[in-house]
Amino acid sequence: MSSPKLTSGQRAVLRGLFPGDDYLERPEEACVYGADASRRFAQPWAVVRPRSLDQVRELLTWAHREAVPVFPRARGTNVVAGCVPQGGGVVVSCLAMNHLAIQEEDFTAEVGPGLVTGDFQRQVQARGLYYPPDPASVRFSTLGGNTATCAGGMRAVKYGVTRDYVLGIEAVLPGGEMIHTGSRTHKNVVGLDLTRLLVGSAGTLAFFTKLTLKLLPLPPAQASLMAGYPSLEAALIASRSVFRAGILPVAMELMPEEVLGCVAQAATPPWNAATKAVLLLKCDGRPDGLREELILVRRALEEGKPVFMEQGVDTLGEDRLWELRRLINPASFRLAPDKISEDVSLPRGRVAKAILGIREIAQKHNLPILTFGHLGDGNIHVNIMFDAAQEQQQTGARQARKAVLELVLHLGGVLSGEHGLGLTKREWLHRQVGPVERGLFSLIKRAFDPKGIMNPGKAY
Amino acid sequence: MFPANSAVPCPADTEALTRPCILCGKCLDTCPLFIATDREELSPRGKSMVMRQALEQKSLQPCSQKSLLNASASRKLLGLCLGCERCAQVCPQGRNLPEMLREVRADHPGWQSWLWRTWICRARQLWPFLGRCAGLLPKDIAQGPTEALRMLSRPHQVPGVFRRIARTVEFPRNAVLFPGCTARFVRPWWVDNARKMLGLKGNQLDRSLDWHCCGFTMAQAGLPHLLREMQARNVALWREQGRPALVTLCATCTKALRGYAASSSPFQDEEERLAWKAAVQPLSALLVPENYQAVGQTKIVYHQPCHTTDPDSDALFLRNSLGPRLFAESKNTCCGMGGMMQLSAPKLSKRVAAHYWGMVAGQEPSIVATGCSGCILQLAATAPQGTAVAHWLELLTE
Ligand SMILES: Cc1cc2nc3c(=O)[nH]c(=O)nc-3n(C[C@H](O)[C@H](O)[C@H](O)COP(=O)(O)OP(=O)(O)OC[C@H]3O[C@@H](n4cnc5c(N)ncnc54)[C@H](O)[C@@H]3O)c2cc1C
Ligand code: SF4
Ligand code: SF4
Repeated sequence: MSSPKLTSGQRAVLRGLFPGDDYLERPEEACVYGADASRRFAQPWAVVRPRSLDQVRELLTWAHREAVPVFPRARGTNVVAGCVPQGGGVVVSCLAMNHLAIQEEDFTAEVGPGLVTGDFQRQVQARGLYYPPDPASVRFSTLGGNTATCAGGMRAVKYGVTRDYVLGIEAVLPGGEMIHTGSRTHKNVVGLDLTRLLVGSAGTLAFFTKLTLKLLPLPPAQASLMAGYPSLEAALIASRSVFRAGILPVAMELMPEEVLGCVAQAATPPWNAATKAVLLLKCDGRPDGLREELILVRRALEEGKPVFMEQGVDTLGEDRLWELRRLINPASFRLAPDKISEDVSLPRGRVAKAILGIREIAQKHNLPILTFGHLGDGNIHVNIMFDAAQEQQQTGARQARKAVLELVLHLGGVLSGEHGLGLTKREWLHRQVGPVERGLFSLIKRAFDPKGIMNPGKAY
Repeated sequence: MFPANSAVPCPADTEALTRPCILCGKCLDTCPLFIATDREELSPRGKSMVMRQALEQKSLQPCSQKSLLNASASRKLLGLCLGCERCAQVCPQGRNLPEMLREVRADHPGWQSWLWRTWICRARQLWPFLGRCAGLLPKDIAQGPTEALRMLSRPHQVPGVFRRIARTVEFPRNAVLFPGCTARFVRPWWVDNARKMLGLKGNQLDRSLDWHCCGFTMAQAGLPHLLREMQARNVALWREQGRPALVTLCATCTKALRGYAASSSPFQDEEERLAWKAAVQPLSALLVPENYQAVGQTKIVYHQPCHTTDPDSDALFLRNSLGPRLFAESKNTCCGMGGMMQLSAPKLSKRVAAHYWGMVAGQEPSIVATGCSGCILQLAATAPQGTAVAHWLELLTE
């Protein structure tokens, strides 16, 4: 069966440009490219898999001329339908563009957008270098996707997010023109900062073909601590004492009661029913410094009177603790088959208020709502679990979501700290961003993409 | 400006036995087929997507008229799986895709005739697996291409790597060899080496029993009737022999034989089922590494078959007897044999093998040793010049 929305001439062009398996139009082959981890779906008209810069340039020249929408796609792990081809168009998979060159002397690396972040981290670490951004999807998402979403991760408390590590971008604009933003230098104040603009642009401005990333020296030692508390309040007291002790941990994650029960269904965790909140911290540095820091952190954590504390010192021990954190997302589906997932961010001092407020919303709508996440930087994940087959639950979930987002905005927070607005949260944009700013967004979009063919309908 | 094609929630494959795919993408990184090709349509998530859409639209039934997916093309795509089960190990939803694919195949009426046709054309790769199931096969296959057999049975030329130094015998009193089709029909010297490895002089181990194929390929191919028939015959023979320990030479045989215990049908009662489960043992689990001495300087890389059962006694034996001379390859390397895929997509299968050899290249091995008949055939057929592929049994020297 052929793709219905492209003319036979257009299909012939694409087939010529992307020989063999690199052009797909059969629905059964193309369908997976119509969905992502948001679990939304629209059948693509066709899928192409460029292997070279020239192919991308020719593709975008053609698409611009013909006004055919293109949807950049990497591993499709974003949760906001950021690469669902709504409205139809050509999905462009960048997975075959996964080259890597490390410039050790410069503390930089040049990578293709399709390179898996975890693989990249392993390769730089083998040379004593460090790329800190670590979304929970680090093992199965890409640097291109991470850059386009400005992915954040657990280590953001100390090391920041993807944006802080992108020094430059080579990209192709609709029409086929290339741009090079930034450079291989770690400092650069020449002109407007297009690099930072493109990071987080969700595939709506340009197609990335090469990224220049900043690297750090690899901290030689690291360790993780998990502490369980008899109440949420106790955990928050402990977290405050850590910062008050003058310590900036690499990561500080919070898992309240609801989450603990859920993860326990999918693994054998160190907590029991008496544990009402868990803190998970990571510290790094030189072995001597780290040893001292851990003593201070333990002392600070003791202030909340923990019911248990576990330390992971080697990779395996640490991984065991962090795997529990990574399990939350998949384990959540054991509560109910459907989920609305929000990743709001709050001023750090308001996190407790938000968590308690969300608990009330859960009770009111009689639905399980999981709140957890990056306590250290105020980025809290909210998972509203429900069964879409039951109309009442579906309505309840939608209302609960609205209440959560309103609460967050009321507390001075933002709609998304990591995942972006994509398709699923786009209608909320105006609640946070004013009309003048939104007008600027549109003007910028038009400057890059006058015909609106790049990932249309997404993000802003 | 553009025609509507709006995003809708993905249909849930609620008819499936396991929880629905949540499209998280965790499985992508584990799938050797995806890793070797970067083609998402071949990934477990891609196949899950086709399955869920097919379930929604019932398009795998050939009579479906209005379906978006093409039935035969969907089936073909679903057939592109190596059956390695790596995706099943990481899926947070507990989905076992190869298992589900087996059912899709078994349910489809046209599948078996297609399979037999393909089998006749491409029996060369699969012949060793067919082995003694010949009596159960349609007539034209049963005759079998003898020329293919001769090709595969060319003598081995692998330098010896270890020698047996003990005079003891490590042979459980009541034990018998389940040689597997490859050793029986193609590489009979494996049986001889197995005897020597255990320190046996006579042929107590191999009672020349008329075993049937372990049935792994049948299961994967979605031929449950044939599989059940083989299970019944093998279990009956074992019972006749007084339920001895069953010593295996091939990782896939071990997995398949142990898998019999998942169903109760071939067994007389629960006690017999448990006895069977305990009876199946890989040869390497019986060996004592101290009884062997490494010889020569040859560099060995161990290839862990996808079907290895835990713990991997082959790897343990080799590591303990060869020490630092043994290099384990990095994880997640599949040879690309994948039983059925050899039939349906030989080119893709080769591509996975090429990826495998690319990964091993850095270690510059002169011998890649493994303990699975399927891997040996696939790797031997694709190895670069200068690299020999052998069953680890073949590394024994006098
Ligand atoms: C289990 C799980 C855990 C997660 N944890 C986190 C987390 O901790 N933090 C976090 O931030 N996110 C997280 N995510 C979301 C997701 O992993 C991130 O958004 C990730 O950055 C997406 O990467 P990807 O390679 O899958 O890109 P995709 O999902 O394929 O694409 C993401 C966006 O990038 C655009 N894009 C892709 N390639 C290009 C290109 N070459 N040029 C221009 N635009 C492009 C796409 O159009 C799309 O808008 C998680 C997801 C899952 C399933
Ligand atoms: S890991 Fe499981 S749930 Fe996730 S995409 Fe793969 S098959 Fe689907
Ligand atoms: S069984 Fe192996 S080859 Fe098949 S889909 Fe799963 S990981 Fe891929």
